[in-house]
Amino acid sequence: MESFLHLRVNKSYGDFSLDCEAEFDGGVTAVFGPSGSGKTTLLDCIAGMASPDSGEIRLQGSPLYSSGERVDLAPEKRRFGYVFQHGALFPHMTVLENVMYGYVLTPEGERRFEPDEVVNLLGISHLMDRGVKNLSGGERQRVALARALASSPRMLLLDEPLASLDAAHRASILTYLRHVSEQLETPMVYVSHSLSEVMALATNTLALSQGKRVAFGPTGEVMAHPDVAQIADYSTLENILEAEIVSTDASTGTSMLRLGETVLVGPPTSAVPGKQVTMSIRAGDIILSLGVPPKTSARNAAPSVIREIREVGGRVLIYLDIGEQFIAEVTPASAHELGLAVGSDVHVVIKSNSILVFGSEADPGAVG
Amino acid sequence: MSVNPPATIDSRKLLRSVLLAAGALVLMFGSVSCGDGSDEPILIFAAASLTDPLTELAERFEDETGIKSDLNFAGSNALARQIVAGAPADLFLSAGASPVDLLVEEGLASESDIRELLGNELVVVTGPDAGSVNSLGSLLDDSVERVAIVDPGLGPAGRYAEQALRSDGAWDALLSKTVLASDVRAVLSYVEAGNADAGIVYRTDAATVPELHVAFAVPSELHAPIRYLGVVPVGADRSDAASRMLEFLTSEAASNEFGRFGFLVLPSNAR
Amino acid sequence: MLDAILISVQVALVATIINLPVALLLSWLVVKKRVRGAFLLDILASLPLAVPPVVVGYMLLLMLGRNGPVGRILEAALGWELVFTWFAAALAAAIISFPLTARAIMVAMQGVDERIERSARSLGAGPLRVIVTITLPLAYRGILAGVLLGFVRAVSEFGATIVVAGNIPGKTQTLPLAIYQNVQLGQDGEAMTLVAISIALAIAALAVHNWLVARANR
Repeated sequence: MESFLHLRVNKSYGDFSLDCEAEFDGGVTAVFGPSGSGKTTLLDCIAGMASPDSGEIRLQGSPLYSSGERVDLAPEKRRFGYVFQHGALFPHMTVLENVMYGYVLTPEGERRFEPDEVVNLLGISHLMDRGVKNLSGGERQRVALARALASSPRMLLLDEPLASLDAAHRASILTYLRHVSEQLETPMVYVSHSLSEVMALATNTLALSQGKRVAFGPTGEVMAHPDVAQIADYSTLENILEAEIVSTDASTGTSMLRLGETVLVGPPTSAVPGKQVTMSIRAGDIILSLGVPPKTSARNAAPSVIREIREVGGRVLIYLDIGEQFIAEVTPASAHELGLAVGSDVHVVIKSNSILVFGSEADPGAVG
Repeated sequence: MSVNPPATIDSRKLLRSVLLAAGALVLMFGSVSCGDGSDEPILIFAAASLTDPLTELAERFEDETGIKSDLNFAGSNALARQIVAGAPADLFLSAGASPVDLLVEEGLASESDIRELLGNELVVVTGPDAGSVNSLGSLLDDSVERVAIVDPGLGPAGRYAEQALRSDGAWDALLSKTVLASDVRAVLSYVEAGNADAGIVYRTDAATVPELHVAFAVPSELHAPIRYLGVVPVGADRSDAASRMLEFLTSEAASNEFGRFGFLVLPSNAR
Repeated sequence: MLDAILISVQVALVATIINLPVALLLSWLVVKKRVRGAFLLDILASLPLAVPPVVVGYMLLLMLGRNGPVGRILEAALGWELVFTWFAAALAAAIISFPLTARAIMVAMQGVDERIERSARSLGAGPLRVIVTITLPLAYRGILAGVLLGFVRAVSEFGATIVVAGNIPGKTQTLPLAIYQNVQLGQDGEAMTLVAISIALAIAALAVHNWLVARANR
């Protein structure tokens, strides 16, 4: 397989040094690591905002940077859309002017998306005449994404784009990012320190610690890598999934959510039936039961199959399939007691109020 | 919704104003440009004390000859140093001989070109109510608490004052109540403000402050002659016109004009 | 008297026009491009603050005078004699006021979030386009404030001006020089009038300056 992006980067400053090699494919690749691990430096090197001391960066074989060939393309020549944590919108321009900035600079032959298309995809068409100063955090990030996409980038580089957002906005932007990656076929490099975001979005993950590659490969494997356990905080791991509202019942204060082939009972929501929403369930809040569970206070008991079991950092991660993959976290003792094994049929037991539902802040009709 | 590309108005506007500014600069520059035309004014460096008479005389000279003058007034020492450093003076009118001597030493003036223009006189000024001062010796009276003179190291007026006081024998006794000022103007303002009871200045300067009382003139035999000298520096761009101006300034008509301002008119104009 | 005011304004305007592009370039090199030796450039830009203006004027006179290296070239090549012209006064005022303009512009440029400029680069804008469409529009209030501050300093310039441009009424005599001359001649009334005009000019420019700074900080 020819890699989409080939990386071999050496860069040191002070007593920090980044030394990393990897091949990214054309999907979503996460660069995961704690702060100070060098992930933003790596992203800056890819973007051309920083120059490595030595090494090579090739996009589909052609060099963006090569210490051997003395190549170091300027950022504007690389045509990568870069999205920062706070959006870094142009404060002296309207939303429309922000979105058009890169579009007009893109040679006509290289334009793959029209502004209308990305604006609609990201649900910001109603914001176009606004200034950017009083946008919400989530709106800012969507405008930043639209601005980057309107320049038809060969790749999107995202530096902690959700880090400053609250849970609801985070979930919604994640959904938008999924749509972007699926519908616009634009490869992404996604820098984050959040396990949940990486799990929700990335096919492959490069884990970095202190400038060194700790693990690289399919996200599920990397997340379960023993060395990654040293740098990952599994207690905050959430499953962030998309679901469809089946019905809502004001009298019982519940809603029905379809997740793949399973229908779950969730908390009340203002979203109307038929709407796509984003839901989040913490891995530690999921209870596993062998056989059909007896009556419990939990409202959900759905049959599922164990696809994978990984023990990392004193925790056991169970990869389950209920039409969509998600993860439950149990203690090693209970995993042993239950005799859980790959292929086992289990029931997942979830309290309805362990499920968080986020309606997309914009009209989801425009999204999909 | 339709999205129209906004024109990059900002950058175009900016470019236009930059070009405008550059154009304006070029136009202004036009007025610097030299030209060797004979209507180019002669540049006269003159001692500050000559400001008023010279301004009038330069106008009269232009009326008679059509030659314009640019007048640059400052302290004579400073002017001489500027000429040495490369200032393009066509004519130098100095208070005192030492600034001119500096030019001679530097090869920028030749001894034979130097003309004596005028003389001046030292006077003692007091406030309106200091009646008892009538000689250098009387400055020692207890009624006179402070006497202001120019610092002899800073200006010729101070040197002349020191010479006069030494010749009179009053210098040492007077030293304890002497206030040194940076220039003649400062001496005048000390006396005017009452911070000094008496001051020694040129007569022409004393005339500019009518509130002050000229108590007496310092006898001229007590100090070296006070002279204004004129010279056309070597290599002056408009030396011919400048020489005509210098000649005009030593004419009888010009001397009368200087006299009107309190300067001493000299009998002959050779050094 | 009107001459002195007009010459002052002309001299200060031209000084400002000379300074602005140089200060912009230097600030950009120091603050944004961070070229090697940026700290030296930074110090160099501020040097005129530390040197007495008279010394600056004297050095200019030695450089541009008829015996000076630059003066000789200009004379030979273009027939220009700059010293003791209003343009020499403008050059002197430019050098003396440069640190104020440059420092203010550096601060203004520092205030422009680098991530915003990097975003523009990633969207396809070259360095020059980023300066024109992002950095300058975002920093313009601070830049304007620096220009005004420099203008005020240029109007009040005395020490360097009198050495390199002299004190020629109607040609190089600016407001401060006219004030000086009036004081020398004991014409206190005229001096005070000119002082009042100077103060009025300064107050007006500084008021605009403070207003711009207040708005830039919002």
